[in-house]
Amino acid sequence: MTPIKPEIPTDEALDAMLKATAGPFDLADDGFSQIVMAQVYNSPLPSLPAAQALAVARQRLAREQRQSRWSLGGAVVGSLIALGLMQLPGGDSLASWQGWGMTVLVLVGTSGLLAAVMLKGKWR
Amino acid sequence: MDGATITQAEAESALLGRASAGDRAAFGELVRLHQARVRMQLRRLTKGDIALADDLAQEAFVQAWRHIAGFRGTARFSTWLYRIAYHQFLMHQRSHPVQQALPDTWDMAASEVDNVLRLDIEEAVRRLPEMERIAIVHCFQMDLSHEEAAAVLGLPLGTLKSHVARGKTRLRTWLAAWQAGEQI
Repeated sequence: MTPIKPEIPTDEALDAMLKATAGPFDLADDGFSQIVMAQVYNSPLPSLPAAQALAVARQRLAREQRQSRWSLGGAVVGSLIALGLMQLPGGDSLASWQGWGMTVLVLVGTSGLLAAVMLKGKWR
Repeated sequence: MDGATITQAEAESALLGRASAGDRAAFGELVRLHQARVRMQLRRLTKGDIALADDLAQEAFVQAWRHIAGFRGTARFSTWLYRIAYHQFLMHQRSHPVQQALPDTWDMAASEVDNVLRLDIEEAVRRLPEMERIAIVHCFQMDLSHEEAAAVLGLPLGTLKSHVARGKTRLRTWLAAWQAGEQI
């Protein structure tokens, strides 16, 4: 008697056989949705989990702190630039700055502040 | 066909938006759209225990409602649901660690595959070690891509592929033995 030799299915054949056992994906509802919805109607409205809400609040706080730091930094840098300009050869003392000289100082300070505002928006 | 798919995706997206805002009727539509696949996933996971599978599916949908505001849309909604359903299954397994007996009846789907062979494959898949079985159920019987199955099961892609490969090797050996009329 010749023994039967087991036939090992190929990888593709096995894949096809397994895929053929998929589903069925058209199960009749049979009142399932109604039962689920009865429980859903007794559940509270969905909301962000506490941990997520906390994370959002922390992100907002960190963003605000970054903005404050950039604004302060911008004001300091603007003032330093203005003071630096005054120390250049031919520069004048703050007390003697009048007219167009004061306008330049204000412009430099303002541009420093504006730069800070723009950077904080870009870097946050 | 593409147009129909896009329309369906858009409709689902609109339903999701409404459900996230607290619209229960919209969520009801989503339940109706996805109930069959989630229930089938759980029937596979529970080895055909229909009552248990439906209980877990109900709980999965209720959990989905409670957390729908946290759904970020980085994965498909169905994948997110499968993940919740799988989590429900795991929680049940932890609280009921004893292996359950196989039910006598299995809801067979109409298939072109020979019934005997089909039964053999079903039976073989059920006998696989747990993680190999779960990986094969999701990759083949739930028709998910490996990436989607890995996301549902919370496994690295390589780990999932290893489970699938090991399961398939075991299945090939068993099926060959069955064909030869041997006992496993």
